[in-house]
Amino acid sequence: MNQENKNKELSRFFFNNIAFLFYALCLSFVFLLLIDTFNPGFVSDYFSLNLFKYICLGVGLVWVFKNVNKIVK
Amino acid sequence: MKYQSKFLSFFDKLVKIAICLLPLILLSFVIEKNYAFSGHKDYVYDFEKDSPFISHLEPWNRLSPISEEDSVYSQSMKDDSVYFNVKKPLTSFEKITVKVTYQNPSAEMLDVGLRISQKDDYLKLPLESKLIDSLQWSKLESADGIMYQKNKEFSSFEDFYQNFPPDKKIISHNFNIKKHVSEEKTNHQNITPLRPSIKIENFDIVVTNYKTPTTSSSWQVAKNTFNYGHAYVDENDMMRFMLAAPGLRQEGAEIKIEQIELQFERAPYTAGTAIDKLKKFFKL
Repeated sequence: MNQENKNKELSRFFFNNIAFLFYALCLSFVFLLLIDTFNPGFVSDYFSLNLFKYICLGVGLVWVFKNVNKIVK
Repeated sequence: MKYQSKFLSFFDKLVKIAICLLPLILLSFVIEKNYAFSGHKDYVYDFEKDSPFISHLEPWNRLSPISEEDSVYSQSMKDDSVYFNVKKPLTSFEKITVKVTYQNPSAEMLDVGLRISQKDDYLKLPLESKLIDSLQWSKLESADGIMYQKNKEFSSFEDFYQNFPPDKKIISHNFNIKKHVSEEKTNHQNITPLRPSIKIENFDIVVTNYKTPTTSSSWQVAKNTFNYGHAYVDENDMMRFMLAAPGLRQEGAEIKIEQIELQFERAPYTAGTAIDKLKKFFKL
């Protein structure tokens, strides 16, 4: 495998896993938000859902960047 | 998703498993925090930021505003009693220990109270008693408590219970004499609870379960333990506590509070207790 292919595969690996992480985080966020809505404080008393929201957004931005990259190419 | 490199294919699976485990770890963390399987749960309010479990002290007009000195936040109480609410944990416990870090330059007594009924009745336990701390009488310590005698007459608590002196004036501070001495033997007129106005020279014996606060830098740390079952929980799932310093307003003194910590304790859950609870839940 030449260097260019290696780099492409590495970036594919990176973006694929970021996308997977994004789906996992979004699903967990919705799930935890639902638990916290029905039992106020169950999650938010111990773990900041607000912080979680920004982590989701951050990872989401990388995911968007990946797709924008694809479109541009 | 296939990769040409075997290492990347393997690593991809590993990363995906780790990502799937993340929410599960987070969920177990939240469940453990709520149900405290370890049998121990701590709530802390340090005046620097709000706690989701312990309210601010109230009423505001009996307190000074929260102040900061060398990155240490504190609030002073300037009246005889102030209150705070505590969110009831999801599971029940056996004991609640209230630990207070404070500075008390002059008030005679500081007690902590737990609301035990809808009628605003409080069960009070001592945090500090300057009178007992400065007592120079003969001191006798045992598992039952501590006994101070003006003139040493009893060599043990057993001796005291068996030869109970009805003619002696006794201060009973956080100590249940009735538990050990029969009703006929005790002369209730001679047994008095500790009050700030009390003249200690008029008494002969002090029996107490009080423990002198420890000192950490310039702060005192005092704690006492309530039975969890005694707590009254209101319709908003809140328990109410009181910090009481009788005579504080009259003296024009203040008590600076730096931290309030609540420690909930019970036996940890084991596989056996978990199965029992599940059986009970499903009525098996």
